Amino acid sequence: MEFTEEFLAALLRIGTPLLLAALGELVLERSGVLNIGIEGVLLIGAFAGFVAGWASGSPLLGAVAALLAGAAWGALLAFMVLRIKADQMVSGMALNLVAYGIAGTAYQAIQNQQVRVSATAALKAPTFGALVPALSGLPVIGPALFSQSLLTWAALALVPALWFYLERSERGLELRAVGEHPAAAEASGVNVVVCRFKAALVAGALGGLAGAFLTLSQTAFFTDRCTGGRGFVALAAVVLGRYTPLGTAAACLFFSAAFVARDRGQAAGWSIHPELLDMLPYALTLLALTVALRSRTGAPAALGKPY
Amino acid sequence: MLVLGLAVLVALTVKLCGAEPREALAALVRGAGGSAEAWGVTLARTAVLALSGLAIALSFRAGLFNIGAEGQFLLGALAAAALGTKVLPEGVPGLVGVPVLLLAGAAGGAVWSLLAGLLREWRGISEVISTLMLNLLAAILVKYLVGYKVFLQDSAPFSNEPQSAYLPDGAQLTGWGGTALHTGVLLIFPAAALLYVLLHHTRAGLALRATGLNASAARACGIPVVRVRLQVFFFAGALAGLGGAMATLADGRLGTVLYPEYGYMAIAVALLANLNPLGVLPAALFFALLESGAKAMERDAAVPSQVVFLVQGLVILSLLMRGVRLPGQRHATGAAAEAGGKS
Repeated sequence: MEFTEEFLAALLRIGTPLLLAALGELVLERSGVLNIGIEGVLLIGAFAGFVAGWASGSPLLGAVAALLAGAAWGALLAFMVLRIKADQMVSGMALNLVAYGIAGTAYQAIQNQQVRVSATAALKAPTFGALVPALSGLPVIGPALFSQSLLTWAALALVPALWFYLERSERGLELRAVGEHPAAAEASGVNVVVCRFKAALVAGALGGLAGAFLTLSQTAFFTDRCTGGRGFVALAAVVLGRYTPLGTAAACLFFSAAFVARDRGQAAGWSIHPELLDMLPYALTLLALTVALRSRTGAPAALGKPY
Repeated sequence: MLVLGLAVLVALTVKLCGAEPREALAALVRGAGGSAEAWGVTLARTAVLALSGLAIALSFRAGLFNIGAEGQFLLGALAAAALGTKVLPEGVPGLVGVPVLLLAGAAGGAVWSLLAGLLREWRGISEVISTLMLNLLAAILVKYLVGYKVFLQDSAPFSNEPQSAYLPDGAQLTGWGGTALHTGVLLIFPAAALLYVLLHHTRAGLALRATGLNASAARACGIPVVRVRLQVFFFAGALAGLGGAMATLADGRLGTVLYPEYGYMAIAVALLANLNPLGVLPAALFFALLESGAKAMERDAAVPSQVVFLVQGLVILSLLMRGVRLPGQRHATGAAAEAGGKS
């Protein structure tokens, strides 16, 4: 029983950043834009959230800052892709490098300054607590659900909301049309550039939140490259989920289970080297794609193409 | 203009980090090419970077977004280190040891790359995702094999910067006159020239470029597109793996932190060269100078070395803004690309 509780709680906790990032990426990809720069969005969000949270003492302000920083990063990608009409993948890759550079140098700069002011080197941010601590004593769902933070709840609520938006609303239909056949969408009165720009903002904001979860909930620290490939795993989750909200959410939980198994294995002292366990999430990602992908992938027809 | 903007930006960053810009600049110049030793290191770096840059240029010309040079580089380094420390006898002559290990590295990189190629052609998995995953996997694999005394390490396990045992003397690329400049560096000139001739003056090169420009048109002309792509995956991986082996042989052993992110830097190199193999050499030199200089800035002027990533990213973005495009996009934009269909 205890094992199930802990496993479920960890599954949702580790899955939160994947879910937030992947759902944002899903919106953007359904509009026809692929963001390889998602790893950088997460890192910028993790950094901005950490700094704002650390400086203000409020995790909520940190999350808001991460959301805005992520959206700004999304706007940058949109500028490169929609205005300059540059290659989506190269732009994303370049923005990743810029994000590594900015977050790495800026954090170092803050830390250097801090060391001069006080002797303590390790900066620590405030973290989100349980959203409904009163109910976390309930069996099974107590720890699994009610001990989770605001961001986890937000990520979970986003799944049905996004399903409704994409599959049932008129706006969602327009967005999908833009991703499938932008010229036709344009002819029927949809502004392709504006639609994709909005999608990039949403994806950036959600990616920023995903990053903030890492530094404001999962840990209270920022480290160089603390996103550790999670953005790339989220990219894979969208593909594995066949570009649908429910499928993407399921894929995120699957990858989350891989991360949890890795951590559990390390803690339980499995007779496998921890480094080999580290491979599990990425190896499973490749394996899952190999097994699951058939000729019909559900990818938007105009994905990755400039317009 | 571009250089000026970057210079101002870097100076600002340096200032923000609490260092003195003039001091940092002096360190940058000193580290990049202030002495024979510094030039040796920079040129050795150029060679390794150029090989990965050639790999990326070749892939992009064929329309493949193979960003796995990082992982292929590591696998090449690993293959060379494994063969060198476990199989080669201690007294192996240099004329045998060096070529054997370089070839082993090329093979290691080629296999890792071909994996992504097969997944793409067989299962339709985008090479973007598969190579990103293979990069992460390769980094963990190297850390595991070198760091945990499994079969490559000789001493001090669990150190922060684990290194493998030394290669036999006959399998190392020793530098000239006390510098890091070694014979292997000469290899990049024929490699770049060969690739240029192959791309622009042979039938195979024509097939490759056609595949990159418009795969469905190439297929209609009877070009075996799948085979061309798999060959490109193979040779691009071999080039990156060769670079990994060369880096290992030059250092005498494999460390986990010696050549960070060369595979990603190679993307900036290839784009700066406008995907032309001959242009890759000066582009690689530029980024190698930058990298060496940044290392010195970190050591002497306390500037975080991550500033290099910032510069790389900004170089790519400004190239894109000045109209540098990948082959498939160069001729077909907007509605034309729309009609081109997916291949």
